[in-house]
Amino acid sequence: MSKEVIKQLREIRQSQMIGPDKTWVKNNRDLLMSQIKNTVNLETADKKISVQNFWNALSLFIPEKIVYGVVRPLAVLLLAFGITSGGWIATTEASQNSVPGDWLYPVKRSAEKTKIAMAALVGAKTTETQYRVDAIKQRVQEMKQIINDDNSNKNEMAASAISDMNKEIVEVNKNLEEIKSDKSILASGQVVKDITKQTAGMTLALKEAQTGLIVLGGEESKDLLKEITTAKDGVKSVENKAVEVVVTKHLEGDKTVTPQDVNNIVGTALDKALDEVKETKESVESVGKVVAEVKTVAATNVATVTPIINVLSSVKNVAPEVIGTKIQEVAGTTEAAAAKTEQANGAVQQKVNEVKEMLNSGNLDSSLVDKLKAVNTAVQEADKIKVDALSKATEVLPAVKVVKEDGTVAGVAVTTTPVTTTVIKK
Amino acid sequence: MIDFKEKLLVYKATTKKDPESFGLLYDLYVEKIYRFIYFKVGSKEEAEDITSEVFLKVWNHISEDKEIKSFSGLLYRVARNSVIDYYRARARDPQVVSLENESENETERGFAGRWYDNIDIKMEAQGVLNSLEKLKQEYQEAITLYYIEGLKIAEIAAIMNKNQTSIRVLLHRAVKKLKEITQEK
Repeated sequence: MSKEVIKQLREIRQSQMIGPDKTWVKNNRDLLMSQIKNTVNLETADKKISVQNFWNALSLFIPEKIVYGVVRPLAVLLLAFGITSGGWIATTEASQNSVPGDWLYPVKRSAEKTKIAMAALVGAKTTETQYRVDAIKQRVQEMKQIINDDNSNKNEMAASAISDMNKEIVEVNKNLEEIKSDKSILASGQVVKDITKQTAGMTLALKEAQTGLIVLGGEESKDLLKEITTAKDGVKSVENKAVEVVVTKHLEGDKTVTPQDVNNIVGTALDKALDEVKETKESVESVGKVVAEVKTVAATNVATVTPIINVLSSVKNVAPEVIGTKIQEVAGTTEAAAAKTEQANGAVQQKVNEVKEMLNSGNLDSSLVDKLKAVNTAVQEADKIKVDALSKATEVLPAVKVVKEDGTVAGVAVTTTPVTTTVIKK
Repeated sequence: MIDFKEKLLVYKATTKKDPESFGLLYDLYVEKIYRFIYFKVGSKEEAEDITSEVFLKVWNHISEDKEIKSFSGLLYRVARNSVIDYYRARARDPQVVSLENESENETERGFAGRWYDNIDIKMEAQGVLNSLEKLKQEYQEAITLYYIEGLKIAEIAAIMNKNQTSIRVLLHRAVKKLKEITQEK
C-alpha cells in the first residue's frame, strides 16, 4: 500500500500540472534583472577576492560535503594552531568581519581570548579591561551585521553574540570595580576615559540596529529587539561603571583624572542623555500624530483607510471593522506612550540640571555618580516605551528610517506613504 | 546530483556577482520554488508575490559574500521562511477570514486551499492529495520535497535544518501516516 501511495505521489510530480503562468515568469524575470543590475558594481565585483570564493571554486570539483565537512574544518584547525604558534596576522585580519556561524569566527574569538589572557597573566588590569571592552565592541558590530544580513537563523546568531557580550560585560564591570577599589591601580586616566567614549559609539551602533529592526517589523524582529535592549542595558552598565571609576579616582586624588576630565566625561554623558530622551519623546509624538490622523479618518470612513493599510502594512486582507478596532488600540498605546515619554523628558531634564549644578559649583562627590545612573535609567526606560509604541504602530502602518543629511540615523517614524527612508534637513 | 553547469552558474553568480548567471538560475528554479510555495499558500497571487520576494532575498544574500553551501537549499529555506512570515502576518489578526481556506490551523498544516480541485488529475492521485492535506506540516513538507519536488535527502535536510537520518525517519513516518489516512477512507 505504501508503494501505491508513493507511486501516486510521483505521478503528481511527473504530471507537472502545477506551475506558474509563463507570462508572469518572464515579466518577473525582467523585473528581477533590472532590480539586481542596479545593485551590482561591475568594476569591483570581479576584483573582489574572498576566502569564501576559494571554497566556492573548490566546490566545483570536490563535493560540497567534503569541502565544508572535511577540508575547511581542517583548515580552521591549522590556522588556529598557526595563530597561536606563529601569529598569522593576515588570517586574524581576514577573520575580523566574521560573525557567529562563519567558519573564521572561531579564529577571531581565539585571537581575542589569547590577547585578554596574556594581559590578565601579566597583571595589566587596565589593559585587560580595554581588551575586554574591544571584545564587547566586536559583539555589538556583529549584532549589527547579523541584523542587516539575510540569514535564516538570525535569532540564534544574535543570541550567541549577546551571550558572549554579557560574559565580557560582567568581567569588565568586575575589573572596573577592582580598579576603583584598589588605590594602587591608577585609573590610567586615558584608558577608562576612552571606555566612556567607546560605549557611546556602541550605543549608537545598537540604536541604528534597533531602528532597522523597527522598520523591518515582523515576529523575528521583535525577538531581536529584545536582544538589542539587553545589549543596550549591558553597554550602559559599563558606561556607568567607567564614569564611577573616573569620579572615584578623582575624589581619591588620582592625578591622572583632573576636574576637567570629570566635567568633560559627565557633561558629555548628560548631553547625550538629554538628546536621547528628546529624540525618544519626538519619535513617539510624531508616531502619535500620524496614528491620530489615521484614527480620525477611520472614524468617519474606515473604507478610505482600509485599502491603503492593506497594501502598505504587514496586515493583509483585513476587514474594515477590524482595522478600525486595531487603529483605536494602536492610538491608545501611542497616546499613553507620548504622555509617559513627555514625563520622562521632564524628569531627565530636571535631574540633568541638578548634576550640572554640582559640576558647575565644583561640588563633586560620590552622589554625582548615583544621580547620573538615575538619569541613564530614566532614559533607558523611555527608550523601551518608545520601542514598544513604535512596534505596536508598525502593526498597522509602515515605519520609515529618518536620517539626517550626514547619513546618521535620527530615528523612526510611521507613514501612510510607501517610502523606506526619509531625509531630514537641518 | 547538481550538474557542473549549474555549479558553474552558482559560482559566477556568487563570486562575480553576475546577474546573467543569476537569471539562468532563476530559469532553472522558478517553477520549483513557485510550486513549493503554491502548495503552502494556495493562492496564485500570493505565490507569485512570495516567489518574487524569495529570489530577490537570495540575490541580496549572495551579494553580501555570505557562505552558500547549497544554492537550492538556500532557495527553499528562504521560501519556507517567507511562507512562515506570511502566515505569521495573517495569524496576527485571528479575525481575518479567507473564503478559500477552511483549514482551522493553517499555520500548522501549511497547506492552504484545495488548489488541486481545478486540476485534472487522476482520482487516485486526488485521493492522495486529500490525505496529504491532513498530515502535519513537517510530514507534508518532507513528502512534498522528496516525492513531488524530487529533492535529495541531503538537500531536504539542509532546508528543514535536520540531519539526514532524521529526514529518512521523518519520510518513513510521513508515508506510513499517509497510508493510514488513505486506508481510512
